[in-house]
Amino acid sequence: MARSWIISLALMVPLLGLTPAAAQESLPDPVRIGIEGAYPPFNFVDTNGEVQGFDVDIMNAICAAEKIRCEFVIQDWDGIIPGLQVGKYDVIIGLGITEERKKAVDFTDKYWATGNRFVGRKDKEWDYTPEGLDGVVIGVQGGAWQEAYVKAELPQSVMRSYQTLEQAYLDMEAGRVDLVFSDTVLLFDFLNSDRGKDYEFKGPEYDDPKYFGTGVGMGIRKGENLLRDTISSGIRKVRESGEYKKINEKYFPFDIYGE
Amino acid sequence: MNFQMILESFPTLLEGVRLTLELALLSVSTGLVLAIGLTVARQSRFVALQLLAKGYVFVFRGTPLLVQLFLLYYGLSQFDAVRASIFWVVLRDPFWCSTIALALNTAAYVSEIIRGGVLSVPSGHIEAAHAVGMSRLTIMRRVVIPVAARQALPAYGNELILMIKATSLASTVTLLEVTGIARQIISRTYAVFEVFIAAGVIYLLINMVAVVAVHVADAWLHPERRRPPNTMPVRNA
Repeated sequence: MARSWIISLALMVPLLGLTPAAAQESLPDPVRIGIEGAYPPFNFVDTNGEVQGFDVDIMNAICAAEKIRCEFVIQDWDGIIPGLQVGKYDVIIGLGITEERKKAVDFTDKYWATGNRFVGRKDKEWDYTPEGLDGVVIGVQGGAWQEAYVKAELPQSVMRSYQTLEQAYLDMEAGRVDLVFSDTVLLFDFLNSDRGKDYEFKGPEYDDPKYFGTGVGMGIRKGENLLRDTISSGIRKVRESGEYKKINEKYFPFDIYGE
Repeated sequence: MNFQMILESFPTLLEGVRLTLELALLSVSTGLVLAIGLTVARQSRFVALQLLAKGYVFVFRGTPLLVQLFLLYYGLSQFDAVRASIFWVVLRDPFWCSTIALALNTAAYVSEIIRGGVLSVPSGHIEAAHAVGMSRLTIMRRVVIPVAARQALPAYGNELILMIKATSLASTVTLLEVTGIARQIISRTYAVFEVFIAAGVIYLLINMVAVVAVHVADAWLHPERRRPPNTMPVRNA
């Protein structure tokens, strides 16, 4: 008798554990936004220790449009998804939408989408095929989707994974890395800076959805549909109000929303 | 927690063991040679040499290894003069930068460990050796080094284990040793706990070998603890 009672209790435990997340009706207050803070011009930490950038402006606009209170939490990219899962924050801003990641998190609609390119020294040229890049050292950000692409599609090249894109640029300037492979807008920022004057875009634009997903959105814990829909609706509102265009122009001379 | 994932990540992580061991062995051995040099300089009659060794230990013990590695790898490479010099052949390579940073760092600690061992030799022993007419070199070989080595070994074993773990910092300068590979698997699978548990087990196994090696060396340095050769029980004694 006593034993069957314990078993039925044990069976109930996972049910109890699931209930709050599944039946979530209200938004967290404040909504905490996990942000890397090392991905300029999308997000970076200024000299006062505050996060700034396109992501921050867009998120603040979304939160204002949806009348929710938002708070930024800085987190290394390496641990950005685990941090969401253990509840350090409720939203990841700037997460590329891929099939692989959809197994771990839910996504809002995209809020920007651009292609991926190489950047290298102006006085050097390669043939941008797997054979042509044989032995060429390519710098990528570890954990970014370009890393997966180079590993699978350009196996003859020598890939170096850096914790931040900044370190990859440093090593390109030092001559340790021939090409840096990353998102067009990020590279654009580098090329436009004083340091970028000896460098240029190389090769074609890469946008194979198998690796590069379908744009960049916000990651949400699985099943938190209210939060996901609120932010997606916020993205639509800032698009329609023209707020998006204003913020876009502040950072980039071209539209980054994509099709 | 997914046990399957822990098992699956092992074969990939094992590919990094070779690099981890190379980093550890190379830096520990060069570090030891450097440390002996530093200890000699510290005990030298020339004040300048003493100060130099003191300053070295102060700087390398007083700053984080990660900072030293970044200064060596990202810092030095910013100077055109460094990139134009012959040292660039070595310094452009993340493997050599990591090995050098690890070796320079461990040298500071080990020189202090050796110094402690040498200072622990009772002066009476050395005077006695003088009295029976031993030369300075013989005294070193037969009195100072055996006693100092026994005193220093436990602390040195500790440093050895710390160094094996410190090789994981090489992953921050793109090397794919055990931790570097672990990060790469995690960025693909998001299985942080599983992959780091597997990586942790690998470091434990490597350190187990190091602990056994230190034990063997310890037993060899303490012949008095061994059983006498004649262990036959004496009956009706």
